[in-house]
Amino acid sequence: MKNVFLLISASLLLIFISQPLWAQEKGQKIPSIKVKTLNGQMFDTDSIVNDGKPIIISFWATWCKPCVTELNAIAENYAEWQEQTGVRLVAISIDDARTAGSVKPFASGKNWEYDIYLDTNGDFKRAMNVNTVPHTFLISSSREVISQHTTFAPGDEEKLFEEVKKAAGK
Amino acid sequence: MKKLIMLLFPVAIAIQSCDKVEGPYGEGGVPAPDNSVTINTGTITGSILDYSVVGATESDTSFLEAKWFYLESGDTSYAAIIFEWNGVKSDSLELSVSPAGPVHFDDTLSIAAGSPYGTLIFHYIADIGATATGTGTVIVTVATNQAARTVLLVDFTGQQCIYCPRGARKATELENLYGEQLIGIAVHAGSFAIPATSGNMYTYDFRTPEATQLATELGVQSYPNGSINFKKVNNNILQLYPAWGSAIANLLQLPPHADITITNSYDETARQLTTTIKTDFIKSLTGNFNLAVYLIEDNIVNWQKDADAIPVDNPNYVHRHVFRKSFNGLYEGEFIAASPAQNSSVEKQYSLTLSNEYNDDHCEVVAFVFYENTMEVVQAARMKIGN
Amino acid sequence: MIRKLIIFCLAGSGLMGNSLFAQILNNTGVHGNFELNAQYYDPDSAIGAPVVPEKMLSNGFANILITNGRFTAGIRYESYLNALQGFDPRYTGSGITYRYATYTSDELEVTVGNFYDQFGNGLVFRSYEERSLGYDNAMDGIRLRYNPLAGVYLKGFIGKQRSYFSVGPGIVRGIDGEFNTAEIFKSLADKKTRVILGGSFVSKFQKDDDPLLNLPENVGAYAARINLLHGGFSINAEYAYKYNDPSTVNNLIYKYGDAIYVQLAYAAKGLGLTLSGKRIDNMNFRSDRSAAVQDLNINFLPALPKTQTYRLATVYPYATQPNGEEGINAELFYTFKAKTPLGGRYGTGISINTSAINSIFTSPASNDTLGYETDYLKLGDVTYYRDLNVEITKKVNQSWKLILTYIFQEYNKDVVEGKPGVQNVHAHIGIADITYKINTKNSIRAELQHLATKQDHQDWAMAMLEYTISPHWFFSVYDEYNYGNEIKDDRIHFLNAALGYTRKANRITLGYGRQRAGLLCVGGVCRFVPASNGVTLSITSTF
Repeated sequence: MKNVFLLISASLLLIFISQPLWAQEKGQKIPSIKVKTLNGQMFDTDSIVNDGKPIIISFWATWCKPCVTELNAIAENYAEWQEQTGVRLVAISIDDARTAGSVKPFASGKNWEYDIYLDTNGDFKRAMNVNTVPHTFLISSSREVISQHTTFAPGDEEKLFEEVKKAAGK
Repeated sequence: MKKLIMLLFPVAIAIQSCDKVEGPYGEGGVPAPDNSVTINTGTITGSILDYSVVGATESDTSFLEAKWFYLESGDTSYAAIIFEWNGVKSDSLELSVSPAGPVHFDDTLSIAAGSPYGTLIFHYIADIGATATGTGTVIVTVATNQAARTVLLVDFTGQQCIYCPRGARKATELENLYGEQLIGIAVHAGSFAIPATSGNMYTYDFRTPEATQLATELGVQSYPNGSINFKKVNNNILQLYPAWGSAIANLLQLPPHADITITNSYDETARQLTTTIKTDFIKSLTGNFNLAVYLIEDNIVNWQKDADAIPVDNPNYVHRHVFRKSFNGLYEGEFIAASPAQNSSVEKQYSLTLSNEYNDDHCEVVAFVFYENTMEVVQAARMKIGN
Repeated sequence: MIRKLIIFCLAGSGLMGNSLFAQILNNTGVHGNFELNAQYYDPDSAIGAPVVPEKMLSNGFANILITNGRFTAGIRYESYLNALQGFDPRYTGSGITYRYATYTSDELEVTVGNFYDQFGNGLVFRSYEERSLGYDNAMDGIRLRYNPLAGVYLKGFIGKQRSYFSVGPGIVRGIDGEFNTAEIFKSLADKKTRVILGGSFVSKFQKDDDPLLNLPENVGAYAARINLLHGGFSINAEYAYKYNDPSTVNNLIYKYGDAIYVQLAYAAKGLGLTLSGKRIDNMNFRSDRSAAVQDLNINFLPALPKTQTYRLATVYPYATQPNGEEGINAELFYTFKAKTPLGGRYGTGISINTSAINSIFTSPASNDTLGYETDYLKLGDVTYYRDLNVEITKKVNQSWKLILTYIFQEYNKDVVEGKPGVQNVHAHIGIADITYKINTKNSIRAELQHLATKQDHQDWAMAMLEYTISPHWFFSVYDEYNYGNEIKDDRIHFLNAALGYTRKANRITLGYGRQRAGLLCVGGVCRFVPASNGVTLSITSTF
């Protein structure tokens, strides 16, 4: 009897405390994590802003083929996307010391126009709960995650663009 | 899981020789390790020529007398010697050493009565004024006729594992240090023990089903590897060889909880071995205890890959203490006691006909008593089959 | 009675305080991720797949992250019941293996509990996780990150390292400082050349109760680094020195260890060039001197050669030899512009990567315990690894895309896998990766790979077909065939099929088939990963 009583009380407590959590439907806000620019400067992810326009944050690595395919696919249309929606793509490389040094030459070699940051310690990756790459987030104007996807199949970039347009209110 | 591990190792019975010790201090039956140490300092070179440990009568174990010799070539110098028995140090003796010949001194040191196996350490310091100094220690294991705690070392190895001889060398070093207090066995298992299917190298199969099962149960994936008394150190039941020394040293500081006496009777013509294992519980213990008995063959000469040898393939490697067979065919050892009382004892007898493959001059029986649930070994013993 | 009363009151207040909680929790975010990998094993003697008594093995973990303003806390729960084949069996059972709380203020960030971090390139300290390999040397202790002035970044920590479900015996402490001169000195802010300096010191303590040897209990290592940038050029160099650290991996020698790592890079539009050089001597650094394979590493020695992803290119994976190696690597990325003869209509990308790694020069030491002596100016004479990778990426038209790769590898099986006497493997690998976009939603990708070698198991061929329906489905089937094996019985097909569904950040994959065996050798210990046959299930999700 005592146990049942305890159980009921504990459940009530749990339910009512967590209710606000369940009610919360907001996506994750971009946390404030220190990453590095390709020039070795320390950069706080707090500063990832885009004037109220949507942001795409894509986690990638030089050794991840689907990531490179995705970023190449978007690169082909990036200028057009920017013109239409003002979106900004921030590519976060999770390359570690073995390959981090190649990120800048690699991205230059591919002519990517994105803002690229190095997250060699994986702090930003962990803060965004990323398991595997590619993992791409669409961030709203209020700097919250609207949608995210992992893996990349050719054609996915078009779906992403639809979402970007929606987020930009177009 | 423990039961399955037990399954692998049937009761291994080590036969304890009747002459564990002749007198209180090492004489004959006592392991005499090669502990000569050379110190090279400036122009001083020296070595321990010899030492002897002389005790009183058999019944009087209260003092230890030691003599040692120190040879030096070079200039006149001074030496200071201290010796230590089981942590108790003697006073420092200073003597001037002439370059010519050996010097000897003797000193006595009182020791606690009833000491079991002990470690006698000679600390010596040589000094030639301000130009050079040298220090060293010589460690000797001295046996008494008291029951001493013993420790079981299981070395997982394979003939094609190039780093495994490092583990075997470490085991031999520790055996030389601890003598009869360390019972080491080599278990050949895993992918590095798989014999070659062609050619004439590494074709002998050292593996046994029991050995393979044990390695699997303990989760041995890397070789060389080992376990001391199947006791967890830093949460790991397996330790790599650099950790063996400290694990054994720590365990040997504990007093013995059981004493195992093994008596072997071997008929050479019939190759029939009968072994009797008597386990005396020195202290009352709680739990269920099993006895495992193994037949071990020492000094098998065959191929072994050795990263530190040139060439790496060594056809004349001496494999020490190789696990051959579990006695009485039982997998989980044999249950012998439940919460035994102090001074209770259990006696078991087993028989086996040795295969012609084994060299009976090198065979020995190893037995150990262990907790049935955790597998942790209480005491181990070893005895050669032919006296 | 009192207890009951208290709990009832709390529950009641929960009811009433709902709105209060709602306000506090409004700022709190709870997010996390989850992954499960399970496999059902069929015994298959043809490929040497062992019998798995549990039949089904699984690895799973879940991370939960709670953020509220300046405060963050997280936990990870891992479950191995039992761990998949190829993972260390000490991963067994379930429990919380990672938990931390962090508070960030403007200048100072304090973390208590578990954390990952690295100093510079990781030559003296790097704590990280690689879940797919079962690698995790997370620290458990306290870490501080301090940014007193612009451009000065200090880090300090003390803790023990994770060892499966517990911690290792050694205590590790470290301090690192990074100084960005362009940020510190305003006068340098606008200069084209930027210099970033860094230095670190790490030490570990482990008790010595070895009866035979006198082992050092405190072992220290320091490192100094410089990063120079000038427009498109950059130089990244680091030197590390470790005091005597006898351990299993170096066979208990008392020699010091050191490592030097230099990387030059140049990046311009359409062009990227890197040149790296590395020399490592006795740099195994663990918080337990008798640890081996992947346990308790304090530092990280990155391998020079390119990270391979294509299956047949990973048959001979090179691993850094912590006891000593030296090598160079050169890499070129170039894109031929579109509408040029070589570029074609859409542009063509080419990347070339080549490495050469040798042993270090050693000579017998004056004192046995020192192990050996070495000379920086002399090259070791044992070839550890050579490779040449040439990759051409070309978009042929709107539907077809090609990636053609040629790889040459020379791999020292003796040293890397601990198989002395085996000759070096010389392998030539050709890979064609073709993507055909059927329409906006459907595409099919084929990979044709071939490995040619006269050593080891001789030639392999591999073909893979992957069909994806954007955005949710993918289906793939592949076959690896060891057709050239000298031993006719070992000419086996490793056939494997997989089906996956992905939606938002959730993905579920089901696979069936055979996987070939592998070997993992690090330091002085080797571990064998057996072949397997069966059904695999993988679920990942982020929430």
